[in-house]
Amino acid sequence: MKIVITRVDGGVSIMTLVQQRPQEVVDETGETSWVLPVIDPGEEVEKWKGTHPGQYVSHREMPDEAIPVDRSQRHLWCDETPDPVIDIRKA
Amino acid sequence: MARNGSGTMSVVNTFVAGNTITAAGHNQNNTDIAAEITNSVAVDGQSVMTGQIKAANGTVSLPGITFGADLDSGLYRIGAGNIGFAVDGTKVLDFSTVQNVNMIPFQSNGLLTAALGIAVSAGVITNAVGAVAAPSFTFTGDLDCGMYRIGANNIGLAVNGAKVLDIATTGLGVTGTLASTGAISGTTITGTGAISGATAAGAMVATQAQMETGTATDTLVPIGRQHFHPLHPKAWCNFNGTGTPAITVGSGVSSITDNGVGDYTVNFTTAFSTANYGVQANAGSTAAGVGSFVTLDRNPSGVFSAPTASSFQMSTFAVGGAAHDPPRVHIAAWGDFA
Repeated sequence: MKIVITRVDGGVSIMTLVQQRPQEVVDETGETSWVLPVIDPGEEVEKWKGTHPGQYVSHREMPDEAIPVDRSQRHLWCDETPDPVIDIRKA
Repeated sequence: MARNGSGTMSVVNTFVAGNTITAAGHNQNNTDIAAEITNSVAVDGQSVMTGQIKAANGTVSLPGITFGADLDSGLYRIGAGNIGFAVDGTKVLDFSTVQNVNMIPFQSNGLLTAALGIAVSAGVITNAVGAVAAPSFTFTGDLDCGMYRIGANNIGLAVNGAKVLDIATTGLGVTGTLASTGAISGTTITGTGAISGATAAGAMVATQAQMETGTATDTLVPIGRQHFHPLHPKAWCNFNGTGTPAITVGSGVSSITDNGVGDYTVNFTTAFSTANYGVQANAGSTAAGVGSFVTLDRNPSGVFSAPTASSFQMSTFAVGGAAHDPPRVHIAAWGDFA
């Protein structure tokens, strides 16, 4: 699953979430436990916004196979149709 | 018998004034008196008792059985089934069915067996020093197992003639394996052998703050906190940038975003405390041998992108060329976690 972020320049950024390792969590009583962090797509988009201020328009999830393999026209990728695929803007 | 069984004696023959006193009557009285004197206790110790001595109950200050020169020391009856010994009018021993022996002030609720070498005074039982092969406090049938005195302020426990425990003002020393099903805690725990256990806790284990200070040399570093050390990367990864980036291997990175050719945004799983962290990044060559270099905090067009505590942008270029997607992009970040 990918997060497709539409930017103000009309292009898209394709975010890949990363499977996490277990992390130690210490509660207020000092008890330690291990949890497998679940990456929240919304939080990841917020982080992205931090380094790309003013560039965010929208985002949505797409299956991996919706992302083109051919990157020769990468600068023309966009998300303009309702279909869950990356569109290629015509030059 | 002239006594009536309760100790009261009566005269067999009485004589009345004016009557004749017969020899037989006179002799019968004297015989009776002589018999009862013989039946009495001679104070000089000639007599041997043939029955019980029924002394007065007495009191702690005037015991029932006492001594002519020390009338406040002796044996007395405290109550039913309870007798005491008094010395100078003070109880020093108390015998009863409840407490076999009650030595004042020392008390024992069980049977106290005094053996040669044991002394009891002022509530303290003292014993011989003993030795590791022959402890002074030991057990029937196992005389090389018990407690002994090693030296001044130093006692030991021996098992089978060998010291297994050494207790001194400096602490507790154990010879052999120390096993515990509960927690073992202490300010200082040392050993010449291995210290093992299911888990370690408390001050033995370095805290996040100690890891970040990075100077302690006497604490354990738990797996889940080693990354807090300032020299430890907080995040690293190797991702393939030739397509939509996919992490090959890494930790501490929550997402990689492909913004375009040679244009990536890296998000951290855990935010740094500030945006002032260090990033080391580089990229490998393509299969065709085209080298790569990396720039941080900008896109390939040269637009600056300030890093945040949880994210930064990077660009990759072919050496001497335009932005491109290297097959291997490496990043590592160091800094302080909140």
